[in-house]
Amino acid sequence: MTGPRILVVDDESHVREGLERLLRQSGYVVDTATDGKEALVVASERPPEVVITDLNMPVMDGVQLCAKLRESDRELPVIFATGIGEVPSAVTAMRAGATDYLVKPVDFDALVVAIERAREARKHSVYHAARRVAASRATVLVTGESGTGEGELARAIHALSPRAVEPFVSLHGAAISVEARARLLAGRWHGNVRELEDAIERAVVLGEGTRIGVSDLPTEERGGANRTLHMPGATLAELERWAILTTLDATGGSTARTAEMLDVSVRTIQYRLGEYRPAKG
Amino acid sequence: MTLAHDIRGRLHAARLNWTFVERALAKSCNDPELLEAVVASSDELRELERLVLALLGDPAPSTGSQT
Repeated sequence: MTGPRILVVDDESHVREGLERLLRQSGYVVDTATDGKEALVVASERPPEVVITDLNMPVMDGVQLCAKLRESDRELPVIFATGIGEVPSAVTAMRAGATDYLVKPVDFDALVVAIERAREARKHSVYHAARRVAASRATVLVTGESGTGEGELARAIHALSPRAVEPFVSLHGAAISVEARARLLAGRWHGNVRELEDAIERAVVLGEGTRIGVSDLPTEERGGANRTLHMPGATLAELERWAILTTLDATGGSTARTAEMLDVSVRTIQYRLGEYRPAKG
Repeated sequence: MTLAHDIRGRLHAARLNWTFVERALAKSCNDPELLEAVVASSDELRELERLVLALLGDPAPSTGSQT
């Protein structure tokens, strides 16, 4: 399932289930919750693109839910379905930060229009943010479920940046060890930072085309066919070894040329080659 | 919780579920009489909604986005 994910929150089971069926019929991926408290748990486990919530519910109402959701995602679209066709409920909904509100009984086509309009507005908001960060040299971490357009957004940031004249290189995360990735993302790499940066750069330089993946690693370092599914990533040392040996092979065994291509000293190449030789028994 | 609020809630649930039935049958049903009956029921349900809400003195239900 790859459709937009919608979270439906309503304490009335017939409303909740009816809406769930209709949205699924229309190609959306739907999660449901019976009140605000349950909705927060569901939203944290499976982040929705849009939330449709009742205003009045037990335990935690729509207003409280909206406020809580916005603490972690201030742009998350929240559409209220209000049961009271009076101005005060609409005012309450809008003050709570509602993206939109509809009065029950809601026409489903009108609801779909509201959902799609909210998604479009969010997309514009994200691209507006992308435009702002693209101008800086800041590191940007884009997260999102597969199929939500995180790659497209990364390309947009690149295209809008002063670096647009340079190629956009996609580095498959599985080509870097889990530990190295975690440390890099957390910004607390206590080891040799230069070593980590070099390894990533070499992986990029030596990859075919503009994408580096597990398939770019030598067969013997992939650990068998099944490792594609469970591979935690090559270690930094493995990646460096692969880079050096591949370059050495490509240069006909020239350590000087290899050192030049990898931007390291000849001494480093020789030292590493010494390490790779099997110990004499 | 007012009576009007409760009635709106029931109408809301009925409309959503009936819309689902109507669309599902429109896709898969080859019986024209059954489809005709479903469409007639939809029309009557909407008319009933309008009358009940008028009786309650409430504004009309949402047929378009409010904002």
